[in-house]
Amino acid sequence: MRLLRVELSRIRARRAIMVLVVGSFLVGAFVVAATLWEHRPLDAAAIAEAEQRVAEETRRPYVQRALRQCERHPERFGASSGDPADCAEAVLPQVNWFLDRPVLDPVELAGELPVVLALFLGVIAVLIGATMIGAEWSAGSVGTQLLFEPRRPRVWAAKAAAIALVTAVMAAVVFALVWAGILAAYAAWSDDGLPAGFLGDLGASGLRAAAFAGIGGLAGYAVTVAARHTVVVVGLMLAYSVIGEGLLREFVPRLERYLVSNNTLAWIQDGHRIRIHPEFCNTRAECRPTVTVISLADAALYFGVVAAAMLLISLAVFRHRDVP
Amino acid sequence: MSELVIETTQLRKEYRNRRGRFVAVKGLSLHVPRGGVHGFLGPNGSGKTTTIRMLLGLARASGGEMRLFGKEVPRLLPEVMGRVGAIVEQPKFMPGFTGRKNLSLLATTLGKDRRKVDEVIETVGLKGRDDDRYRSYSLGMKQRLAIAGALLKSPELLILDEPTNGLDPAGIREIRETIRDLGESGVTVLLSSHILAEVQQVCDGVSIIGHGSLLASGSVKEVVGSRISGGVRLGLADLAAGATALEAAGYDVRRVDDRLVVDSTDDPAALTELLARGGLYLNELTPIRADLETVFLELTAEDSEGPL
Repeated sequence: MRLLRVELSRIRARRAIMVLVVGSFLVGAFVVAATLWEHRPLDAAAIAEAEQRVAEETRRPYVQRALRQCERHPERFGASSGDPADCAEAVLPQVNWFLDRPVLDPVELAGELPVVLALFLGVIAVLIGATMIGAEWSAGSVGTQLLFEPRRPRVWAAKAAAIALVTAVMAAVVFALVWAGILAAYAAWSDDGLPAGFLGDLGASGLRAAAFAGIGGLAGYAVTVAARHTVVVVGLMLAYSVIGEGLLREFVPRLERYLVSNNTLAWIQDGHRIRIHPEFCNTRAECRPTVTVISLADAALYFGVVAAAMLLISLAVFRHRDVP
Repeated sequence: MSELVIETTQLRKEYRNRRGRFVAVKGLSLHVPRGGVHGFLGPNGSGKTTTIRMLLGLARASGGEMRLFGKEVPRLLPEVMGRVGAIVEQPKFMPGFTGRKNLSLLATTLGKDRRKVDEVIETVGLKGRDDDRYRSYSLGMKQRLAIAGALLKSPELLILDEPTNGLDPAGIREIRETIRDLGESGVTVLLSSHILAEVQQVCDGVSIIGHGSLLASGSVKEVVGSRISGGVRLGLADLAAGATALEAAGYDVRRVDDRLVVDSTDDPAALTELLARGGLYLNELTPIRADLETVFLELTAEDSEGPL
């Protein structure tokens, strides 16, 4: 506990880390402001005009023809069944199509926004983990610290725990503040309530985003403990985003299930489907995409194994290598 | 036999790199008794710092044994580390933190409170500058902060690696006095230094190493005495005739500038008589005092002539 206190105090005193933390709050505030501006309320006249245009479009013969075809061949229209209600949802025009901007809908936002937030906070967390130990290697103060506590695994664990704690709490708070802003605006602008269970699901994805950031912080720390330079982590992140996310996705699509982005989607959204379309196909059957499902448990296993491997290697290196 | 605070037996450290294997410490057996100031001398690259780093657990030994206060290290280092203060090479602190913050983090690691930090800041004379950032400190202030850090433990053994490097004469004197005071107060100090006069002034005992091996060890007096049996410098009008006469009598004579130096003699009267019999009269006869520098240079020169 004493060592953890030392590390938390060290983090609080590090200006670069505080800049990253404050920066993540500012970006969170910007996300709220941009989202609310993009979804600001429309006046009643604009909504009435859009509703009128929906009614006009719905009455058009080609739309009605499409509706009837959908009831016979729902798969051609992306409808889940030939039920008139399903086909109406898939075929008929929506009010949103004729509005200048979308209406604020937390349920719709809950699809992508948590993932974007988690990825952003994850990157900040990696940088915090890397810069914390990177600066210590650069100053040589790790050696000084080991003259006061020579049990290297304890020192390593205290630093890791402090980083995981700070990055996870930071992510949880930013996530909570962003959603508090959006939900407060929704409550002020809309008379509709939220669907049952929405807040519970949102809270769960917030906790998973916090855990994701904690793992990101640990990953940045683990790599920098071994590499001893913050810049290595930045280089690896760039290399991964180009080679891993770009080239692998393009040229080795069967490895998509092992990409960080797909597993992040699965982790935050409680599961994710990857559709891979064949490069060449002739028949409809051949052209059907291969669907791979990454469940929440798969994503948890993926991040657990990756984090455990990185941490074990990092600990072994820290324990055995000479310290400058 | 007095208790040993530092003891190494056949200590060895090898580094491997792309160019091959490099042996930094080669079977070093070092013994530092409790109490007083013990000098640790050796030319650059002789393995002093590597030895200190191995003793403190910062580097792993490739072979041999080490003990601090009789405890085997690094295995039992946590048991004795609280009794050992150390500065290895340059002081290493977080540059963006104040001097006080750096010390407070170390004090909290030890479980010491703010009063101990105040005390050591006062001891090393950093009061008034303790709330400035470390990066704004002069080299002397950084060195004093490092000493303050080492004193946080109230150590029984203080290991100082080149503590006066980069200090101005006043700073060197201050540190030297601090070291001497600590030695007199019962703290054992291992002082690694290049400044031989400083070691001779401050130290009770000394160990000299070269190429990772022990070349000499003992009290300063013993080490100096064991290598230099004395000599004299002679001034006379006819140096060539004097040299011939002395060599004929079996003396080992060298010409140094406009003087003759006769090594290894403890009977200047016999020299005077011999030269006077040949009509050669001395205008100078100066005993050459052996000092640590002479011994150090002699030992390390011999060592570098030997196989590596």
